[in-house]
Amino acid sequence: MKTNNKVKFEEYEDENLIDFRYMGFSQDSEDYLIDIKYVTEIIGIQNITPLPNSKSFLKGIINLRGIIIPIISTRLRFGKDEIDFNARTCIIVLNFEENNIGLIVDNVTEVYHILPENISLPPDTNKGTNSNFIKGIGQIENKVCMILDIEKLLIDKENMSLN
Amino acid sequence: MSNGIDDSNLAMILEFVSESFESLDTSEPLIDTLKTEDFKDNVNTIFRTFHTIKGLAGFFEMVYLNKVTHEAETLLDYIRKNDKSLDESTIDIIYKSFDFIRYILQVISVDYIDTAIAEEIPEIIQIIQIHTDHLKNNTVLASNLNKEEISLDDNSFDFNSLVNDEMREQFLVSSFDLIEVGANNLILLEKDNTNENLIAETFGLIHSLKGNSGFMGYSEIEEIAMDTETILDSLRQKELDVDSNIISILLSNFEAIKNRLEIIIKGNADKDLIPLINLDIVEKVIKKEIELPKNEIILDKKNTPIQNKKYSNENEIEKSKQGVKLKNDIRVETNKIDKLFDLVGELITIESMLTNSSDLKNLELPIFWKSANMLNKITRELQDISMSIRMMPIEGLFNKMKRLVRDVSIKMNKKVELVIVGSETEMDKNVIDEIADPLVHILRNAMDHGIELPEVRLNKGKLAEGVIKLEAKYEGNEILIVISDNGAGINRERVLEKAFESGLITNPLEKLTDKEVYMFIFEAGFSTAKEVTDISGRGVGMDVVKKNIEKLHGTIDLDSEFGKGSTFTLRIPLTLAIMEAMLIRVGKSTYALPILALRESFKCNINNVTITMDGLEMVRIRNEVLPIIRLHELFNIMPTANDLKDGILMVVETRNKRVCLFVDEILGQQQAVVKAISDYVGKINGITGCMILGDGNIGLIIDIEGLFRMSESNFVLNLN
Repeated sequence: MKTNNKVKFEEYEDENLIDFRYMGFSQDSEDYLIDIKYVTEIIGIQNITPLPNSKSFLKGIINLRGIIIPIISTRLRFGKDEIDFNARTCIIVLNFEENNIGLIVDNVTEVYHILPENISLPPDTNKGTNSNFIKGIGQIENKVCMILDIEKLLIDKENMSLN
Repeated sequence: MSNGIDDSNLAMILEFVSESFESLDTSEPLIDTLKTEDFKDNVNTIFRTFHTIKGLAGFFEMVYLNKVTHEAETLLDYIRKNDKSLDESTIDIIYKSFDFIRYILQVISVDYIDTAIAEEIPEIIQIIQIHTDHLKNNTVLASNLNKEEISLDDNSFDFNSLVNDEMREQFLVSSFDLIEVGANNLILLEKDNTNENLIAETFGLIHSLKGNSGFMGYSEIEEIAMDTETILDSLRQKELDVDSNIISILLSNFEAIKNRLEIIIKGNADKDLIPLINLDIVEKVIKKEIELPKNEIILDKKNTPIQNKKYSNENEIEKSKQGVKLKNDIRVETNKIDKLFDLVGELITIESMLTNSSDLKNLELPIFWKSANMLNKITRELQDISMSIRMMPIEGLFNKMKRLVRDVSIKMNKKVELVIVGSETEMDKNVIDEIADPLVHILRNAMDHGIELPEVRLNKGKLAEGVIKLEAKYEGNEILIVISDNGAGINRERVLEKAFESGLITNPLEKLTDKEVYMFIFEAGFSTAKEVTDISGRGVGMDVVKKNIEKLHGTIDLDSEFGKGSTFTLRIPLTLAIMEAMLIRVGKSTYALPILALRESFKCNINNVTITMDGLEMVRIRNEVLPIIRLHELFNIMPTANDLKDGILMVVETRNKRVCLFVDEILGQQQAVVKAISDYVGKINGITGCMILGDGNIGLIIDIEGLFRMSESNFVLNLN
């Protein structure tokens, strides 16, 4: 409880303070975190225009107030099957290296405040390609969340470049 | 020191740098004219360029820039005081000074101070000084020449420093207005020759013009204006009657003033256009005229020069108007214009979203539609205007090419004349920036491989001096830039040989049209040059040309006749930002086809379709058989029409190649604001960009060239 109070206090002190804050979303039973410095906004699911002959996880593009934003499905990116969009499905719009990119996620949870001492390196078990996307493990009370490495998530090292 | 510079100072320095670049760009083309006899005005312009930069450099405490411009100014001062045409080496020095000043400016634009180049300064200063001394020694005798002329010039310089540019601009603009209104009045007066108001008004106009020009120190204009005023005064006092002869004299005086104003604007006008002697005659005639109002013999004599003048002046009047327009401008940052342009794009999109809204269906809304039509009209007008803001004459770019041709021709010992046509053609500024590189490559190529050495040319029975023609013109919605030379032309056999060597074709005897053969030149790494020079020959360059032009959605064509020369034709859309599009549907997706590429569309008659042995579908239209490209196959979409008879065939053409696209349905025509898809996605084959549709969804814009390439490689895949 004490840590929670501390977060509130800091929030009061400086609304622009984004250090150590993470946007959380859940998929199946797993919780993921994105460094909030990348997040520009969260929008509901929109009509996505598919792009022909493009990467499988690239769902297409959307028009957000006149700006064209490419959309990535996190499920496809993690090599999972897609599920039907529902009322909880949303798009997290990220700004990465001057590009706006949207991530489709199943369910946005909340913004967490995690101090560096509560983050540990990911276990070195090379059990799947997905663990490449994990930058660290964050401890929130008794929950364990995976902090995503946005750069690795967005850039497909093997067969796609940010050109 | 740099720490002490505050923001407003920084902005001033940046403005100084950009203005200096601009004035260097304007006066650079004049350097070449210094070789000819009548160069006085041009020397003055170049001198003034140095002088202005020097003054401002002093103001901003740019010590080194100040030093260099001072030396260059000294050199020019000698040249203008000693009326002597220049040799190559002097011209080279002037070019070098320009280059070096540009370099310093570049440094300043980054560092805001010029200390970084301290070490390089002594060398260039020495070069200029030595040359100036050299000239001085050779021209001691000439310095006594024509003192009167020199002092006259010095006079005009004093005024230049007393009267600032803004005042001069205002004076010029208002004077042109006065002249225009005055001349109009005179023409009216000729028909309505007792209208005292017209006389009085014109008198007033010329009176203020006289005062202004006197104040600004343009004594010649003041004199003409005074003479004109005297005549008008006589008319006003009824000492003289209005007749067509007097009107002619007055009009010719007005034209003379206009001509002088124009000389001030351009700084380098050809004085032959309205010779001073003519003016003297007119002045004399006027004086006689006042004493002897109706002397027919004199009238005959003076009518001829006046009419001649009028004739030769028609172009001049046009030009001078343009001159004023150019002067009467404000400087705006490009990103502001880009922002405006983006907003107008949004507005167009929103406007069509609004008027195509599904909420409006089946409603009777006469008043709404009236307003909607007005809105439509205004947005289109706004679009036109915002587009025209970005339009710039291609002149600046072409002038840079003059310099390039000169430098390269000296380097290669070739004689080349560059003929420029249509430099007033206006293009989107972004497009001009994008075609600069391709143009440089093509010109270099033309000079290196096209134009032969003088002796070779003479042997071939050509003039020793080769000609490269650079032409810009409009054609429909496109701009054509044609670069032609009368050099060696392209050796078809050599190109084929090379193409075979580098594996571009597998059979050297393959039957290819000339155009297809020439296109190999644009392949990366392709060069027929036997040796690599520092100008060209490495085979990079022409592929860059092709890529850059394609980036602009333009095309490039090459024609050549071996031994006679080559012609490159670049076709570039007027603007990249907006185009007329035909919307089509394939499956659930909406695509947009550029109307420019669309030839016709029709429901397919299955009887006209044949399938080749390779499984390629062909359709016969009139006398032509065209291959069918199924868009849904290329783009991997589920179509609603799988059978040719259920969908629509559309004939599209690019670069003289035609194919039929098979799509589900045509949705209609719409103006598209072209948007990039996102750098993140990268290039998508067959798609150039996207547009926002009336319902807020996105339509993908089809790249016809890319589509052709895709279908060709698909076809090859199928064969294998």
